[in-house]
Amino acid sequence: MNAEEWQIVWFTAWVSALSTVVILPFGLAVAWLLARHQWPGKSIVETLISLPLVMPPVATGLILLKLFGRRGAIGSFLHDTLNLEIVFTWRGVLIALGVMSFPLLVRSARVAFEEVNPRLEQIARTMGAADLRVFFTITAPLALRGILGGMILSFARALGEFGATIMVAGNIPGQTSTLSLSIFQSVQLGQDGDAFRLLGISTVLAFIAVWTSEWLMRRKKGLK
Amino acid sequence: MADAPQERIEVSLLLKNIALALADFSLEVNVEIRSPITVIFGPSGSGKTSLLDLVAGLRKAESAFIKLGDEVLTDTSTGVFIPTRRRGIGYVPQDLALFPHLSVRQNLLYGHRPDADKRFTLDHIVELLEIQPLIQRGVTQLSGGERQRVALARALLTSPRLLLLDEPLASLDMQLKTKILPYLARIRDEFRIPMLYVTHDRFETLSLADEMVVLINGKVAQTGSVNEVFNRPANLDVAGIFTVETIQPGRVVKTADGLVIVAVGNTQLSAVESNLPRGTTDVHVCIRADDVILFKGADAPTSARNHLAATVRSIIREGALMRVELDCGFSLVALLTRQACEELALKPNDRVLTLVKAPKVHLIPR
Repeated sequence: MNAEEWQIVWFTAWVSALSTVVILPFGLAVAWLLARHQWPGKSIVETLISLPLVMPPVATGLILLKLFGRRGAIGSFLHDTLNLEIVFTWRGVLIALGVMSFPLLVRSARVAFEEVNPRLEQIARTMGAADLRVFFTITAPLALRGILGGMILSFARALGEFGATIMVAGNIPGQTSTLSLSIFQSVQLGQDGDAFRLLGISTVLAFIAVWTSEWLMRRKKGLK
Repeated sequence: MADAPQERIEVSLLLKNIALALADFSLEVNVEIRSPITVIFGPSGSGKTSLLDLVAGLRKAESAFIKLGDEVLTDTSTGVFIPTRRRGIGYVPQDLALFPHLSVRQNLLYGHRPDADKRFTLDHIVELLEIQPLIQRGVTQLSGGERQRVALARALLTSPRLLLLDEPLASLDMQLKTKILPYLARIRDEFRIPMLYVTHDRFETLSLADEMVVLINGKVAQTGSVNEVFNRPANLDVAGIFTVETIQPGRVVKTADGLVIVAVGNTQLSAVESNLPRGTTDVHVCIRADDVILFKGADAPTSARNHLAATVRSIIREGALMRVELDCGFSLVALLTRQACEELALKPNDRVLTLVKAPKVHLIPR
C-alpha cells in the first residue's frame, strides 16, 4: 500500500469515528425522548429520522447539498457568519456520514432504553435523584451495550457510505476521498489491483465492526 | 425498646379527594392515616399500587390533595406538585427495583444522605437488617429474602418521612415471610416513620398493622383497626375478600405435648402452632369457617381436639353455602352446605356441638 492509500484508509476511519461521536449526544437525546415520552409530532420525527435508511442515499445527498451549499439555508448561514465551507470539504463528508448513520444509532439506543425497566428510574427519583442523574447512573449504564452496539453500527455504516458522500463532498483526492469513493474510482479507471487492496481493507474493517457488535450482543444475553 | 408500637406517630398522611381513572374503574380515596403501619388491603387490581404511586408523585391524578405532616405534596386545585425526588418518601415497589448494575453497597448508598437524619446511618441500618455479609455482592447474587432486606435498607437510608411498601413479601413463601416480618416490626418500633403497607395477605396484616384501609375496585370499602375490620367486615364485598371468618384475641395458657392451649372468650381451644415464637402469650386465634364441623346430639369421642357446645345465633345464605354464626364462648362462624343445614334442621337458638381440629386453629402473635 502506498502513502495515498494509507491516507484514504486513515481519513475514512477517522471521519467515520468522528461522525459517530458527533451524532452520539443528539442520537441519545432523540432515542430517549422517543423511548420515554409521548409528545405531539412524535411519529413525524420518527419517520423523518428513519428516512435516510430507505431513501436513495444519493437523494439524501442531494437534499444535503441543497441545504449546505453556499446558497442553501444552512450553508449560507454558516458561510456568512462563521466563514465555514461545507460542500466539497471534509466537513461535508462528516455531515453526510452523520445523517446517514443517525437512524441506526437512534434505533439501537431507543430499543436499549425501552428495555430498561422504568420502575428503576422511578425508584431512583424517589431516592432524590434528578433527571440527569437518573439518566447517567441508571438508564445509560443499563442501556450501555445497546448504545455501544448502535455506535458500532453507525460507524460501520459510515465506513461504507457512498451515495450521499459523493453528492455533498465529491471525490477530491487527499481531501474528501473515502474508501468507497476510491474503490469506485479505481474500478472506473481500470485499476483493479488498487480496487482489490482497498476492498480487502474495507472488508477487514467491516468484519471487525460487525464482530465487535455481535460480541457485545452475546455478552448482553449472557448477563440476563 | 422504649417506643411501644401502639404509640401514635407525629406525622400523618392526608389523602383527600383522590380521583384517578384506571383501566376498569376509577380510584377514589378520602382517608387520613395516623397509625405507624397502615395496611392498604385489597384484591389484586384494586388500585393499591396506583395509590402508592400517587403518594410518591410518580403519577398524577385528575384530582388529589395529599398532605404529609404539614407539607402539601399534591394539590390539584392550586397546582401544587412537589416532584418525586423532593418528597422524602421511601418506596419499596413490588419488584423491589434493585439496580442490577450496582453492588449491594452502591444500591444502599444511591439515595443516602448522611447528614439528613442521624438515625439512618449505613452502619446502623446494615446491622438492623443483618445485611453486612451481603454488602460487597452484586444484587443479582442475592436470594429472595436478602433482596427484600436490601431493598428495605436502601429505602431507609434515604431518611424517609414516609415509607411505601408494595406487597414486599408477596414473592416469598410462608417460611421466609415469617423470617422477614420481624425486620419490618423492628423498623416500625425503632424509627416510627409512618408506613403504608400494601398487601392482600391477612397474616402480614395481623402481624404488623394497627389500622387498615380496605380498597375494592378503587374505592375505600372500609377503614378501621385491623381487628375491627377483620371481625366486622362492613359489607359483603369486604367479607368476600377475607377467607378467614373467625379472628378472636386469645391468650396462651400453656403449651404441652406439642399442643398449645389458648383461652378465647370464656372457653379454651387446643392448637398446633410449632412456629409460634417462644414466650408468646397474646395471639390472634384464626379459624376458617369451612374448618368448623357442626354436630347435633350427645358428645362422643372424636379425633378433633376441640369440642365446644354452642348456640346458633344466625344463619345466612351465601350462594350455595350457609353461613352459621355461633356463640361457643366466643363468636365463631361456620360455613355449611345447604343440604347439611337442612339435615341438621338448624335454626337460630339451637344447641349444637362444634368440632375444630387443633391444626385448623391458627395462632398469630399479637
